[in-house]
Amino acid sequence: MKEMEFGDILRRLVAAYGPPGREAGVAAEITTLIRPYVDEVTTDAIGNVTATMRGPGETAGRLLLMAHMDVPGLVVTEITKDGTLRLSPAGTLNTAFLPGLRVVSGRGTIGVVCLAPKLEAKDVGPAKMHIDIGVESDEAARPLVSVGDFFVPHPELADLQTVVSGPALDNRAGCAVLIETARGLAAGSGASNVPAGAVATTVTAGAGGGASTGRPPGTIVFAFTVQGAIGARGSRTVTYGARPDLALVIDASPVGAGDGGRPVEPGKGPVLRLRDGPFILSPALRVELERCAEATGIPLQYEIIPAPGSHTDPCGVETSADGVRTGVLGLAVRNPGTASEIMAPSDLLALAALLRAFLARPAGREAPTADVGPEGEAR
Amino acid sequence: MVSEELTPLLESLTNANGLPGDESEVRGILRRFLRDQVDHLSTDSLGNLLCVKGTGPVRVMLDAHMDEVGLMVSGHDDSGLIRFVECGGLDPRVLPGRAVSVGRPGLPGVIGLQAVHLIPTDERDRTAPVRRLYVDIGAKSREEAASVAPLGTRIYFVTRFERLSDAVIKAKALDDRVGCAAAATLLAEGDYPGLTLIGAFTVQEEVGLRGAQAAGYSHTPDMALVLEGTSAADVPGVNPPDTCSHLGRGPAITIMDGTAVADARLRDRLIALADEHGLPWQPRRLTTAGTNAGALFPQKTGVPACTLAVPCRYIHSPASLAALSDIEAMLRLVRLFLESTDRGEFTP
Repeated sequence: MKEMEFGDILRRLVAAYGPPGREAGVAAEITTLIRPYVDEVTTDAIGNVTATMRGPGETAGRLLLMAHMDVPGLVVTEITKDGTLRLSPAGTLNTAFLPGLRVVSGRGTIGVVCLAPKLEAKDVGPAKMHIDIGVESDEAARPLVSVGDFFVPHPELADLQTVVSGPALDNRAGCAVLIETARGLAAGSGASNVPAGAVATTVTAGAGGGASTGRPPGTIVFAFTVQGAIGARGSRTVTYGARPDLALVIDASPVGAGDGGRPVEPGKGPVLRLRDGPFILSPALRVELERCAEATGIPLQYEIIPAPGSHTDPCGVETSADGVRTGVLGLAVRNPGTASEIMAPSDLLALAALLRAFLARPAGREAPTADVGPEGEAR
Repeated sequence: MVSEELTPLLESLTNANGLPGDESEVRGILRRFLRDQVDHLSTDSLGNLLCVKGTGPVRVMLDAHMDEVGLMVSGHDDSGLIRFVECGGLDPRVLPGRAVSVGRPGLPGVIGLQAVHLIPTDERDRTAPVRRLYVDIGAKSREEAASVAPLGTRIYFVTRFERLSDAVIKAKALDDRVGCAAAATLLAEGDYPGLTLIGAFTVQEEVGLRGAQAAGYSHTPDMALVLEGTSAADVPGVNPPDTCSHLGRGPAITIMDGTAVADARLRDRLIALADEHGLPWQPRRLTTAGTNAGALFPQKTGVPACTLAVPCRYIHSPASLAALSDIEAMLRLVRLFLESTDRGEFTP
């Protein structure tokens, strides 16, 4: 099989249909893309896709990497007499960017979001919008659409110098990172070096230097979860089923969502989320991730999301079953929730390289919970 | 016609009092109804009534919550009037002047309103917030009120079940005694060798979908149908898309709400069965609020769940209306679903 370029993987993921609760289309695409690199791919009772890679040493621990595969959309709540569609948001699309948005449904019907005319700025909202699919009556609309259909932004990905732009980068880019990580591990490129800021949209097997050590020890589960755009519903059940020793969630980091310090920017590296509402990254896990970043020359950005926290909901993962040590790594995105989100491919590839380095690190995957003394020394 | 047993059961369930955290009277009625009809009955530590019938390989849960919305005593004032808070979401417009029943056995009272001459002129047109309301049981002092209605005493509406016509009934707590009556009827009559039918009559739904989390954990099914009552605002002056649902058009099947997206496969299967058998149904048009599907779906490794609801006018108020034909249609549709799944025609 011809090696697919990373840019093609991202393009195919962005194009796949998958609003919250209706992820079967993108789930099938992801299954096809990741299957060559792992031992098995399964789908659970509510549609989460889990791809498992087993390395030497059964007792060397289980690590779970997760990214939600759904994207926000609009659900049809009514077909009016003149053939236009009333809508309700499913997930957070930026309301200001809805008027004029071209959208497409699961059955391929294309429409445009229209705004009622002569509105005051304060009245602009989904209740005053409708989708026009180009028919004049509800009878003409019925073969093309039903109440309960979900529309998503029409997919297209544009290359802009050092960044790409399109809908669904949150979080299809995260899914692409997981697939790229699996590919790199399967090819045996354990700790490749990707210079920060490089425009790198192609990675072929075996490239990247670094130690080629084969599969890392233990079990790695790559999970693509459902209903993340409306509040991380699938990630809890996947964590419960996988019973990992450690879970890392990959999600988008909207520019401006963080509090204090320097805002995150596409192109400046993967984002380490120190806090997300009630979630707090453990100091030991922070140190481990920072060490891997330093060793591979990958710059990290940092963010703190204030209460009540983001849709990623790492606390839901952390409190699953009898507790799971959890971290969140982000991909900086500009214009979140629009048809023209912006991310830097260099961030995606850098994050995949960081994950491979983390998975290949010499220490086992036990969660370090050593006691320390007042100077921070181990006790 | 509606099952012979269902209407009297619905009458006794809606007349019973059961607020979040004290659903015992409702549970007693359901337990007596189901005692000889199911294989196993138990009450868990939160008060959920859990029943199991059959030993077939496919586990199907029917969920309905036993609690209704009401009020709770939060304070007393010197003149013997009782302050209260809501237990579950209530429309404050429907409270002033209502007759209520305080505690068990119930003391009669009336929800009073601060006299109009004491309210600033510019506030008189507005709905009185709950903090301006009180329950008057005729007590003459703080001590007297506190001794018969201490803090935490539950306050119930007193609407009695009535048939307004051959087609329409009025009662309190149709949300969700109508779901309880339907689920109990289906459990009692059910005989499906291919299924293990689990009845979860759950507690504290109105204050955060609480009981269903425990029920979904302890009796995790392969799939769950949540039987509910939902809002019907199909009255003059309301635009069609804002009605949520219509009386007389059959059960409202959820697309998505604030707590869950209805499982696509379950939803499509229910719609296909309804269309195949000419049963009326409608999409629930609101995408807000929530049901126990939101609590069941994330349990353990996930449970596909979908909500069907009987349209109820004036839901979450002392008196709601529902159409008997909608209850019948919901019963028939769930029955078809269970029969079909029992025959192995459907797996999510």
